[in-house]
Amino acid sequence: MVGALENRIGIGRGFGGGASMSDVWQQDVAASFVEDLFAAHQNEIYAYLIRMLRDPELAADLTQDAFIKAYKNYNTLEKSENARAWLYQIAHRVALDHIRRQKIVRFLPWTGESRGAAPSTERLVMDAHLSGDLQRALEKIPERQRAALLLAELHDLTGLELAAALGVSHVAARALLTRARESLRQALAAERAADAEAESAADAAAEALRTAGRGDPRSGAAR
Amino acid sequence: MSFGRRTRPDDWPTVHDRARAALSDQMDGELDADGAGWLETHLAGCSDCRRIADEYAAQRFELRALRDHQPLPPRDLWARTATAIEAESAGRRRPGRSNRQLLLAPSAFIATALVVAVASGLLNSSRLPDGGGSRGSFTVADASTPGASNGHFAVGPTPIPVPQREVEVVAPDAVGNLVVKVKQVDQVCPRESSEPCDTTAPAEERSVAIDQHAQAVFGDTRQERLIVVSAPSTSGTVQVVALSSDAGPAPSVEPSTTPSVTPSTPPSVAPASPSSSPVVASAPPSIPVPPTATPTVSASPTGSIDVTPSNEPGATVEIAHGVTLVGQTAAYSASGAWFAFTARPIDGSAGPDIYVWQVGTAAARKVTEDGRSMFGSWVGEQVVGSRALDPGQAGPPATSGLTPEAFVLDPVTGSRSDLADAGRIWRPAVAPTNGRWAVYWAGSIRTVEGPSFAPEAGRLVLGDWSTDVATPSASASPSASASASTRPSHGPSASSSPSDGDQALRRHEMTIGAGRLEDFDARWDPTGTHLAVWIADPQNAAIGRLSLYTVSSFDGTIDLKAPLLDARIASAGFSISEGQLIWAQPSDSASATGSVQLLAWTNDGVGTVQTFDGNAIVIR
Repeated sequence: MVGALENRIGIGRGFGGGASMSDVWQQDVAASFVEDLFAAHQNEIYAYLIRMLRDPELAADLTQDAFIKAYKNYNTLEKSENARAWLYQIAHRVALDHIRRQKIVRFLPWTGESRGAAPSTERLVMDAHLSGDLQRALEKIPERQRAALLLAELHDLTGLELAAALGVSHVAARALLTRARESLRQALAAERAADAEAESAADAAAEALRTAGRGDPRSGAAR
Repeated sequence: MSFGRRTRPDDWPTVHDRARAALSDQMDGELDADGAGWLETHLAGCSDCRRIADEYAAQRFELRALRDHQPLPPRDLWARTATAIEAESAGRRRPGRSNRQLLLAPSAFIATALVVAVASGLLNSSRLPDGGGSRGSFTVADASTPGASNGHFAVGPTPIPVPQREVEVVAPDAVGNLVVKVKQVDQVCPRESSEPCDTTAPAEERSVAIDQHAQAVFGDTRQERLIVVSAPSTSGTVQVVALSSDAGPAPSVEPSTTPSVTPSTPPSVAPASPSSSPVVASAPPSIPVPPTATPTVSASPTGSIDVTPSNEPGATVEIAHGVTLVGQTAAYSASGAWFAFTARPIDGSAGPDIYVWQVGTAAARKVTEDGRSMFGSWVGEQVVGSRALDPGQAGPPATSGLTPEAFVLDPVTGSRSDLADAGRIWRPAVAPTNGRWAVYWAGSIRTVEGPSFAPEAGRLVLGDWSTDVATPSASASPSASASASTRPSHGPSASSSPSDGDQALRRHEMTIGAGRLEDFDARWDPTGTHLAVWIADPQNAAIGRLSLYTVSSFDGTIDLKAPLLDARIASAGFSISEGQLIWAQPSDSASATGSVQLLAWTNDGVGTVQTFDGNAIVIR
């Protein structure tokens, strides 16, 4: 079932060709369906994309893309109870496609930086509530692993749903999660080691300053 | 049978790789009993793997903490997506079968469906392909081209038929006594027509005596009674006047029968037990103030009036005395069992407090005691109010730069839950039906003569209400709502007061009005798809400008550039109900007399009609 679902995404024939009455009817059904999907899932899809891409504006654009794709490929959804996983699968592909394109265009490792020159206020607000270490570590692990972890831990996709959303087999999804947990663990450890090093360097610098400025009443406050 | 995903243990590069896979599977509930047994044995002898297990658990905890911040998409996302989908489908469909209104005006579409159900039984047409005519949105274009919907063109304004409705006002009768007048309206004029079109239906007068000093009159949906507030220049009474013989004790006289409306409310509301206060689901349980701090028995400032309500039409019960209305906002709860308003002592001895009156009881109760609180709206059976907080510096009480703070109050127990995390929110009018957005003042508060409070510097906005405050499950993902109730506080501003910029972004605020305001009154229609906003004139707070907006029920956006009514001069106190807005147009200078105007929205468009001439008080 999962295989059938995943294989049909992206190869749907849409509503092409000369529109017959029934095509028109089907388009309206699709539009209604996407309206309902949008109302029910826009928040979580947007949240997933913003967590993947770290850019609110881009996440909004890609959320839009995902729902347009859902509309175009409406007839590839076999069972309405799979709609959520199906939607995540579309969003996941949209995100990976974007990351891939960005890598090619920029010829630089993707860092999750905003397209704009300055981070948006919203992004700063968001950052303030994230663990910096965790965020940097997440950005360092491969995006498919990041996606698997986010979908499993934050979006509560499990088992076959997760596999469908990732577009892989159940066994492969579990393997991806295993690798993701280990990658994140090592990345977090590296971030924290770097933090500790920076901190001790800063301490050493402050200590040097304090020693050099002995007698200066303000020096004690530098720490 | 298997541990992890490989069937043969020697597939693993090392036994520790196998342990990590087993750990991961176990976290996802995918490890079978054999695998779990193997893992346990391995961990017992491998301290490195035990440490890794701890680190996996810790990182899961950290990851899940990211749920605390649930980013919300921009408000216009649906509009953008719908436009793109329409463009996508444009090349695929035959000409003349535009899906525009379905896609671009979902809120109008939904509201249309409600009216259609009454008017023409075409509710199911919403999803039919050939529904062009039935999908009309309430746009100026529709209203100004009645021929398009009626199938014929006429010279001059063609009245738009509307479901019959009553316009009720309080106005002087032939000898100058205030009485209730009712007019039936079944057609309105296209809104853009230059010719006035009046209905000629005669007004019906009801033999109900109204306090000759009435300043504001509130009706209820069942037309059982009127609540009449007298002008502050008199004795300052709030009276309940029975209209029909059913107007006596309401179905919910006993507090125990007070309906609980929101699903998140605990099913049993024990009035005597403040600890069971059914405050909004996300409110921290520790916040409700102790019962001693919130009055539950105090009556009007000069004592309660112990009069048993009578069922006779015209019978009057004074539910408060010596007070005057503050602000224009007063309303019944969702069930109609409670009425809330803001008032202060007429002698100016204290500032405004929120009063509630339970239908059928003898007196309104004051449910705040700080003299700084004002009613905002109801969410189900809970009062949403706000109060002006002094910045707290030493010296005399501040007269400007006060900070508003919203709260939710249970009228049964009197317990209050502060919504300090909500940001700077003054007098929130929460949308009915979903409670996801609200109109409120976002800014500072000043004191004004009375004493009372008024907006100082800031903006009147439409913003998200539920995100951090009321019902986290309404818009958050299932995962977010699952964890929300266990946190003592949540949202981006849990620990610090957010700056206005943060609040505007977080709550996706759209500005309706800005700058110093004397007063405002924002109210929703029962479907939550139409919003009327009245903003007082800076020179004379008895009159102001009234606008009506369509609100998207998908994302809570309003099209500020295309209001259904645009800043029309209106006396304080309008009426909004399903499909209609009624307001009193004051006489301007000496030339024209006042009038009562009705704006109706239906499937066939938007129309207005002048229903009464002369000055009148609209029954809200």
